[in-house]
Amino acid sequence: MDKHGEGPSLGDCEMIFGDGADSRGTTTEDEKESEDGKEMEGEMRREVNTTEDASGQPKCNTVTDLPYSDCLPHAASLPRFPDERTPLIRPSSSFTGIYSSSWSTTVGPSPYTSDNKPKRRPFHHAVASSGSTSGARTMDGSTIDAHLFTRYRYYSRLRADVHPSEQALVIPDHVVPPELFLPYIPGHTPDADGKQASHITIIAIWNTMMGTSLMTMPWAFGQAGFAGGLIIMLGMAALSLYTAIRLLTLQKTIGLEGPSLELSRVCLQLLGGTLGRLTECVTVSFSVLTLVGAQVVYWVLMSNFLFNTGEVIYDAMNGEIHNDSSSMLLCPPNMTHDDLSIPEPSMFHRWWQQDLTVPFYLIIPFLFILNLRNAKIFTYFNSLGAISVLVMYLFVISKASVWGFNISVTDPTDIFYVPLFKSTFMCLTGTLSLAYFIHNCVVTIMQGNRHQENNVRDVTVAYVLVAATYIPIGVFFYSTFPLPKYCVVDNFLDNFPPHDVVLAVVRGFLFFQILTVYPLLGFFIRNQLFTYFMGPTYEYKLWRVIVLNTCLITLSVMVAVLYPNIGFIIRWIGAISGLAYIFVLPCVTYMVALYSKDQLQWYQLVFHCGIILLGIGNFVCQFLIK
Amino acid sequence: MMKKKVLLMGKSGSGKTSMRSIIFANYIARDTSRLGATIDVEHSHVRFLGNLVLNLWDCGGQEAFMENYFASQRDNIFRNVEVLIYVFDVESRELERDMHYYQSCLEAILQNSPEARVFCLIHKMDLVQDDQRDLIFREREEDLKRLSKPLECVCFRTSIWDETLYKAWSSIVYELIPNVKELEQNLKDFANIIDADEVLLFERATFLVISHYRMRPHRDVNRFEKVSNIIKQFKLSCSKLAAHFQSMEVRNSNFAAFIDIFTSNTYCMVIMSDASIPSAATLINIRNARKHFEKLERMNQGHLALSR
Repeated sequence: MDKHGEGPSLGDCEMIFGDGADSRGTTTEDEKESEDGKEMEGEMRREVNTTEDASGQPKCNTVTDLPYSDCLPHAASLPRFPDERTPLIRPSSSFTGIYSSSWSTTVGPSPYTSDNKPKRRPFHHAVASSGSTSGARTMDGSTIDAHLFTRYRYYSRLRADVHPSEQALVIPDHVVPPELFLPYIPGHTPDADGKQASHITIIAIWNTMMGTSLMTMPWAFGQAGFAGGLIIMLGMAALSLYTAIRLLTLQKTIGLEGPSLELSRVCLQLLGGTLGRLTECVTVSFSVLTLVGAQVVYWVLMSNFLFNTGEVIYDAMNGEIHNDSSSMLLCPPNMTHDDLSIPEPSMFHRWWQQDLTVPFYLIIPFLFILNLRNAKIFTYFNSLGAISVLVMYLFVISKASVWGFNISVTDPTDIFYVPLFKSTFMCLTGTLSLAYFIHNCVVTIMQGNRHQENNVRDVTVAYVLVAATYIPIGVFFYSTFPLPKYCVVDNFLDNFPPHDVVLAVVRGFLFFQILTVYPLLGFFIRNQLFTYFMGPTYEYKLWRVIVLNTCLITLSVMVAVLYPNIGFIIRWIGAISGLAYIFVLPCVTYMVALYSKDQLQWYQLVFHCGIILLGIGNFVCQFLIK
Repeated sequence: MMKKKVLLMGKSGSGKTSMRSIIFANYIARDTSRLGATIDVEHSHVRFLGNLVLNLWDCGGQEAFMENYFASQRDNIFRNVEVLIYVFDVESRELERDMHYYQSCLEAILQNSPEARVFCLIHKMDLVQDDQRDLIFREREEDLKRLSKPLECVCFRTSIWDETLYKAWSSIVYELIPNVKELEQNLKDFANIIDADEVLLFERATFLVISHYRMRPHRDVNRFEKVSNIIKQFKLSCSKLAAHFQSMEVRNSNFAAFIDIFTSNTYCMVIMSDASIPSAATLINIRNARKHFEKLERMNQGHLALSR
């Protein structure tokens, strides 16, 4: 044991660290705010003068009042943890010599007393049970995130001096763990593990699936006949559910380990090579087509709702009171242009026409909305959709109970005659293909489920709920409608006059909800297109976005003005995207997966080929309707 | 002894400044945009691995000016180079131009410091989809190895958002230590004598692990980077107070860890799982071992000087 530290003592005194001697310099000038800092700086400066003392040893790092040559360790001064004064251990203060003073005693006692000591502990990552696994273990999610987090903290520290707009060392989106992107459900705080309970997932699926097809349901049901309609509704629900489950469990079927991948990546893996690329191309184009179709339908609906809302407001302002009770119903197919055009249309009605002018007026709010940076506001409005659906459901039930059954399946001469089967049943199948469509995002939504083993059960429950919403609305409304059945139009809200109070409110809610979903769809379209063509790290160029948005809005407006039959659009989009996502893709991938594991039985082959044929038939039949 | 250079070069925007600030725990400078006619050279007097000095060069920018400056100053720049680290941005769309600059650097190296070691980092790999990373890296590596002949280059793929950056720089440092095997053997003996669970040697400026010895396998293979980041954060805090990080002891009921200055170029970290051993004993042991390792280091540097 040496009395005085021999060996390299000079090294401690020199300013070796590059931080200080860097010609660009650390920006310690800016950190002079804290008085503590100032104080400590002063003290440090005082002692770094490497004066030598009598024995010729450099006297660096000493404060004059500490003994300097005592280097016998005292057993009593073993450092203990946690010291209530500092969170870090000061090295054994008795160990002197080169370490004649530890930095903490040099600097002064800790600024924390037991009153104001910070309560936060060092960030603690719950390590997965260290249990019995020995040796190197594969990294699980928690270890990966812990490392990422230390990196993030360190890099954030390095960015301390730069303006927040400077992009260096900012964590990019594709690196952030997906658990941090959580959807907003009012009143629901995400739990620590970032996952949701089953009932939340089910509600999320229900909310996502419940769409504009709801308003088309009565008309579509009527197109298939009474019995045909029931059979098809139940059948399509079951079939969609089956294929959704197939897609959900595809990764497990293949035996692909690891985090759930997007469908297109799984297909790429499964089919590989050029066939895989082709599949990716096909998946992307169908997905984009569905989204564009949905956008167009939304524009038509928004024009409709805006028009009706405008009518209500105008009437209310003009004091027109409609004495006819709310039992007045419209029959739009019977209303020709002569009926509609009032002899002397007021100025308002000339400028406010559902098909001709309102679609253009809609562009105005979008110029504002598409520039909104904070998307959080949209999520709040999204819940309006669910409220509207519930209101419509109750509305239909209440109306139906008032009207009573006005249907006859046996007597062709009855004005309420509905045949059991009709040859236009493909309208229903097409519409339902879109109504039960969630296949392109089911994997993503179910990822957030806390108990993954319940995924299949939860999807089933969600589908049952969705079917239980669609079927009653379709069946009851159609069966009880007191006017001739051909009056039911593809948006059943149009069967009610604009001034119906309840529906006016519903239309208002739906208008706002669709208003907020429209840009979201635009974002998805943009994302998918650009990612496909330019890779996941495409540069955000404003002009590209503007061009794309202009094209989409132009298309929407043109369709709204020239051909606003949403029934037509919905059944076509449903048939096309349904063909790809509901019928073909799940079956093909399932069969390929089984085939690659040599587990494909003949009956499975037949069954799934049958489903594919159904899908093709669905698509082809759409051409058959005039 | 003459200072040798480590050149960190690459196209503008390839990530060199970020890399440097992460490895050397320097604050990112306020204006990282390099405009104007001045070529930005950062001379850091960082004593890195003994007597190496890091120079950071931006290649690319205004081409004509670059060529000119390069031509006139190049002997100056490329003399006395120990290591050339060249950074390629994997997302770059001008591969031809990148290769052209790289080759001109290599020519200059061949002329002025033919003994220099060349390392190529394919950077920003997090922007590539993970199932394509290996493929893209192999392609680039093949091209670079071919282009670098007769010099031999070692290629790494890196990203600041995973452990590859740290590992690449650790490997580079590891290759530059002259007799790292002997060092490791000595560490092993040291660990056995003092009954430590694990002993690590960090390079002083960057806290890159030079060598380590552990008695039992540990399940977290990336813990070095984590420790390094934590210590560097602490160093940053210290530098705000113009204090220098010297040593640290962390202790709980399961273990005690000592991080301390070791030799003039290294820090050591000693992990003891026997909580009954008093820290003073370990600290004394470390202090005594220090002399031995210092001697080793001096021998190496002498060896290095002779061989030049």
